[in-house]
Amino acid sequence: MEQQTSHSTIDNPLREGLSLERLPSPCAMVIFGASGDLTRRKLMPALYDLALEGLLPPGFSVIGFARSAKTNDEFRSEVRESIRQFARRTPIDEGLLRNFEEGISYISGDFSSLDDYNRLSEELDRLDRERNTRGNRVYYLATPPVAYAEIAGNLSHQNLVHSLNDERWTRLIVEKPFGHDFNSAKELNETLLQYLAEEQIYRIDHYLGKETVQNMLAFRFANGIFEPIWNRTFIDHVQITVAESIGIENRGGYYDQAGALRDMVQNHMLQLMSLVSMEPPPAFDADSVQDEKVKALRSIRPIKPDEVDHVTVRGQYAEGWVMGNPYPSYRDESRVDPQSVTETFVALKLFIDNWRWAGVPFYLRTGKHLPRRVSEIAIQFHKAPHPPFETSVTESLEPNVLAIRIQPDEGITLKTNAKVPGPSMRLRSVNMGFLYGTSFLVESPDAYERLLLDCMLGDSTLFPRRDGIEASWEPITQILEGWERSGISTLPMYPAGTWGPDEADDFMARDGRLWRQP
Amino acid sequence: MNGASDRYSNQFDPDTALDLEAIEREIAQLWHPDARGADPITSLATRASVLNLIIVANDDEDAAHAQRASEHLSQIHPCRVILFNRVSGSDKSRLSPAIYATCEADGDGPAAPCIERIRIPVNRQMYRQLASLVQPLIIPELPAYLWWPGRPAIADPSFVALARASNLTVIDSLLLGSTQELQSLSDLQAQLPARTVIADLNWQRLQPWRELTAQFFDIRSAQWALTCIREVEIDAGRIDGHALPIQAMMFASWLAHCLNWTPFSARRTRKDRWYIGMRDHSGEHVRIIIRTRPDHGAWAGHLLAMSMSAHQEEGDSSTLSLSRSRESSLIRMHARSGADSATHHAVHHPLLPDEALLVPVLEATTRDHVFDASLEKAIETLDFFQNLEAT
Ligand SMILES: NC(=O)c1ccc[n+]([C@@H]2O[C@H](COP(=O)([O-])OP(=O)(O)OC[C@H]3O[C@@H](n4cnc5c(N)ncnc54)[C@H](OP(=O)(O)O)[C@@H]3O)[C@@H](O)[C@H]2O)c1
Repeated sequence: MEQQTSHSTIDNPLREGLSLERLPSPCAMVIFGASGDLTRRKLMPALYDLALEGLLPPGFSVIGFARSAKTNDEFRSEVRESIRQFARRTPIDEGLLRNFEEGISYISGDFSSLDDYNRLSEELDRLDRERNTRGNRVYYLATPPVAYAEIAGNLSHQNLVHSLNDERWTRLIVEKPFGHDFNSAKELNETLLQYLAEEQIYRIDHYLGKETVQNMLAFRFANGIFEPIWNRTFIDHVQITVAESIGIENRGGYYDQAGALRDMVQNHMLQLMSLVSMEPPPAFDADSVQDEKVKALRSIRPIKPDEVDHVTVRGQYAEGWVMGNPYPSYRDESRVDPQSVTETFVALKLFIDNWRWAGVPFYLRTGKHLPRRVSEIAIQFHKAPHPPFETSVTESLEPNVLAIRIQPDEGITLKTNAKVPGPSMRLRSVNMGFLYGTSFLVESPDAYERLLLDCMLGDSTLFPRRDGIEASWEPITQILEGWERSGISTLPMYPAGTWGPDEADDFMARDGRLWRQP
Repeated sequence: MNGASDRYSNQFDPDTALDLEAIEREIAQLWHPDARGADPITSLATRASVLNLIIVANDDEDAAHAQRASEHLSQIHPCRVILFNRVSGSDKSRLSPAIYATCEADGDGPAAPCIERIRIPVNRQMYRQLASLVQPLIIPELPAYLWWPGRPAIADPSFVALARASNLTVIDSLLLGSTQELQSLSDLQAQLPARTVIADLNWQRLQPWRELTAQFFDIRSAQWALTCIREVEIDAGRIDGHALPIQAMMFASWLAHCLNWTPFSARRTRKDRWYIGMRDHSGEHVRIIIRTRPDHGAWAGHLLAMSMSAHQEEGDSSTLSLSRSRESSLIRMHARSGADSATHHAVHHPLLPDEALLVPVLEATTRDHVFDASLEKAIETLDFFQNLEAT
C-alpha cells in the first residue's frame, strides 16, 4: 500500500521516532448522502475532531454529494453549524474550522445519474491538482441501503475506482444495515465485489470503534490471568445487554421493517459476542482478528425452525414512562403499522459449539424504551464448588460476575464475596470497579473518529469482513424464518420503561437463571 | 464521568513531620470507606494507579503551579504525587507534610478515588537527602517519574541523585539560559543508567513542527528534496538574557541528525542572529540561520517560523514553510515541490501548559533516541560557536 512505503523511515528519515502509523496519506473523501442526519451529527464533527488532533493529512478534502440543491457556501455553513453543535472538543478553534472548510465542496446530484458522477470526477481531479489529494479516495455511503449497489456500480463505470495494484487507493465505507437477511447480505457482498476488492470495502459497525470494545481485546489478551478461566469449566453463562432508553424516534418507516433483531443483534451484539468468545489471534492485524471472529460466529449452533420459540422471546413496548417522560405504544408511533408485529425487544439464547464454549449459553437481550441506556457484557462464573461455611451463609453466596460495561460509564467490575466486618461469618457481595472514566479521565475519541481514521490508514481490523457479515446473518435468518412460520398476530407487550415482557423473565427462569439489572 | 471532585485532606501535627510511617498510615486511613463517606460494605475502593510522580518545586510559586498541574495529570495518569516544596529556614510550622486524596464523583454513584498527593516541605538540609525520602514513599512496583518544574539545576547533586533513582526525569530545556546547561544535560544523559529516561518538555513542544516537516516529505514526489536542502531559516521568540534559543537549536539539530548533516562552522552574526554551516552526506553546504524576534510574550523561546528550500541541478526546486501567528493557535504550512501545486495545511497547536505537555511525556517508557541524538548534535554544533555569551 502506498502509505506504508511512503511513510517508512527509509524513504523519509524525518519520520524517525514520530508516530508514523497514525497519519494517513493525502486523500479526498466523498460523502454520498451528505445532506442527511448521519453526516450532520457524526461524520463532519468526527472529521473536525480529527483535524483538531492533527490527524488529517495535508490537503484533506471532502465532497458532499446529495440530491438537495445547495451551493458550496450553503453546505459549508451547514457543516459549520453541525460542528459547532456536535464536535466533541470545544471550544471550536475558529482558525482551524475555516481551514477545514476550505477543503469542503458540494455536488448536488442523483445517485443514478452518470452525468453527476462525471461532475464528481471533475471535482476530484480539481482536488488532486489544487490540493494534492493524489488520486486517493474514500467514498462514504451515508445513504439509504438501496443505493449502495447503484453507487458502487456507477463509481466503477465512471472509472472512479482504482484497482488494488494502482498506487492511488480507493476505499468504500458502507453503513449499516448491510442486507436484511442472509441472502440479501450475500447478494450485496457479491454486487460490491464486482466493482471493488474486499480489501477496499469497509463495512462500518460503530460499536467496534468504541474504546471499551477495543479494551476488551486488551483485557482478554494482554492479561495472563483471564484466559485460563475463559471457558466452560469456569463460566456458567454470558449475558450481553444492549438497552436503549429511547424509542424509535422518527425512524418508524425504517424500524418497522427492521425490528430489534436486525437493528441491533445481527451487527453490534453478534460482534460483541464474537469478541468475547473468539480464540486469541496470533497477531493483532486485520486478517488474524477477523479469522478468529468469523470462526466464533460460524460455530454458533444452528437454530432449527421448531426451536426458535424456545430460544427467543420477542416483545413490543406499550405505553409507559421512561425517565419521567410519557411515551406512546409502539403501534401508535408515526409511520408504524398499527397492526405491526415488529419486535422492539428481543432476548435470545445462543450456543457456540466448540471445545471452549460447549454447553455455555450466551443470553442476548436488547430493546427500545428500556429503563436506561446501557450496554454491557457480563460473564457469570460457576459458584464456589464447596464453600466451607454454614448453610445459612452459603445460601446467600452469589456467583462471581465479571461485567464489562461499554456504555455509559465504561469500565470493568468484578463481583466477589467478602466477609462483613464483625464477630460472625456473614458474607456479602461486593463490586470492585475499575471505571475507565475515573481511572483515566481522558475523553475517548468518538467511535466514528477512530473508524474514519482507520479507513484512511487502510487498517480494516475494526471493520467486519464479508464472511463475518454473512456468518452473523445465518443464525439471525434462521430466527427470522422461524418467526415468519409462527405467524402470530400480536407480541408480548411491556410498558415502556421496564426491562421487557414478563416472558423474558420466564425464559431465564426456565434455565434457573436471572437477568441482571445493569 | 463528570462531576465535582471531593477532597479529603489531613494536616499533620508538625511533630510527626517526616515520620514516613505516619504518612503511610495516614494514606491508608484516607482510603477507609468512612473517610470517603461510602458504604463500607458494597463499595470497595479500588485505586487505579499507574505511576508515582515526584515533583521538586524550587519555591512556593513553582509548588502551586505543580500542584495544579498534578491535579490535571492525575486524571489521565492516576498516580501518587509526592511534591517536595523547598522552603527556607527551619520554622517547624512550615515543615509539616500534608496529604490529600482526591476523588471524582458523579453525584449519585460511589466515589472512585484516583489520586493521592503527599506534599512535603523541605528545608536546605532535607533537600540534600531527597533521594532517600522518596524510596519509602513511592507505591512499589510502579514507575517513579521525576518532574522538576522551573529552571532545573541539572548539575546539582540532589537533582542527579533523584534522577538516578527515577525511571524518567522531566525537565524543560526552554528555560536553560546558557549553553553550559545544555552541556550539563547531555553529561547527565551519559551518566544515567540506560533504563533511565530524560524527557524534555521543550522537545515535546517541537513535536508538531517535526510532524509537519516530516509530513511534507511523506509525499513521494517531494522526497528528492531531502538530499538537496540548501537553506533552513528558523525564527523563535527571544528570551532576554539567554545565549541562544534552545528550541530553535534543537530543531536544527534534529534536522541535522535525521538528514545526516555535519556541522563545520557556527557563529553569532548579530545580537539576534546565528549562522550554522553544515555539510550534508555528499559534502554540499547547508546554511542554517536562527533568528530571534523580540516581544513575543508567552511565545518567548518558542518556534515562530521555519522555512527550508531545496534545489536540484536540473532546476527543480522545493520549498516548505511553517509559521504561526502570534495570536493564533494554528501552525500553517505552505509547501511546493517541483511541478506539483502548492499544499496548504494547518494544524491546531495552541500554547500548551506544562500539564498538557506532560501527558504524553509521562507515557514514555524508553529513551527517545532521536532526542538523545539531536541533543548530541546540538552539543557538537555548540563547539563551533565562539562568543555565545548571553546578551
Ligand atoms: N443517522 C444515524 O445516526 C445513523 C446511524 C447508523 C447508521 N445509519 C445509516 O446511515 C445511512 C444514512 O443515514 P441518515 O440518517 O443520514 O439518512 P438520511 O438523513 O435519510 O439521509 C439520506 C441521504 O441520502 C440522500 N439521498 C437519498 N436518495 C438519494 C438519491 N437518489 N440521490 C442523491 N441523494 C440521495 C439524501 O439527500 P437529500 O436529503 O438531499 O434528498 C440524504 O442526504 C443509512 O443507511 C442509515 O441506516 C445512520
